[in-house]
Amino acid sequence: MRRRDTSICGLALLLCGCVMGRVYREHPLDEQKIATIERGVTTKSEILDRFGPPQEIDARELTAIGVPFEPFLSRRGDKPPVERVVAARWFRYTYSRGNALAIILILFNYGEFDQKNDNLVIFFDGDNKVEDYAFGKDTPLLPRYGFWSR
Amino acid sequence: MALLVAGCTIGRVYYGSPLRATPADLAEGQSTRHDVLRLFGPPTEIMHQTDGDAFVYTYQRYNYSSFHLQDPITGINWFTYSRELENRDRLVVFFDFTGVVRSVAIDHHADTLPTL
Repeated sequence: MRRRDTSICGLALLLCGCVMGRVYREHPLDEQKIATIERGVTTKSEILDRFGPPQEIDARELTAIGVPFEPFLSRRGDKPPVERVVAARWFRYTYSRGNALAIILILFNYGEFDQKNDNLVIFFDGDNKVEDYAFGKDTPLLPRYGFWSR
Repeated sequence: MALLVAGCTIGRVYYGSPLRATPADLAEGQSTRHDVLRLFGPPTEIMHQTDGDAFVYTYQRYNYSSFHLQDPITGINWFTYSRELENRDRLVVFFDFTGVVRSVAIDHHADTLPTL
């Protein structure tokens, strides 16, 4: 009788639920297409053709042509920039993934969520050509089964 | 005396990835935006200032733990203690108008979170 009670208590403690979740936002970035980007050569419209609309656009425009910059400079001696109109300075493309894991016991719960992104940021010069770009692929670093694979 | 059931919950949240390099790899007044992109990859955030841009790199961690004492029959929660901690590694690189690194600031706090 005592053994049975112990077994039931043990089973009750071990009764558990496990939750796994996966989050995917947007679509993976094509590394073959990224390899074709050339600084000073690839144009903005070519980027749009290859990658589609970006998730984020910096659309700052310097419209203060002819206005003196000196009042805006923070330090004496700083040189003002050459004034030019810039339609879009950079695009950002992002692919996000998140992995969630939770273990639900009767007396103890553990949960974790990890989100990582693949990011492509492309800077353009005043001629709408790629000035610089950076690609970071962090989604493969996601632990598949939470702390077990961390 | 009514029986009480104790329960414990632990949560972990991670956003982003740890920094790929150290600011020691950058030289103020010499390193360029291209160097920063090559070393650290795409920034989490790009900010504009009147005297140049700033790149922000962030790795964020959040730890949660709680302890509950509950009456299993009535469901009344007799006692709850919870603790939330959020820390991050943050690197900010300031550029001048020409894209040369003007100054760098870094905070390393993500790994200093207590376990519970």
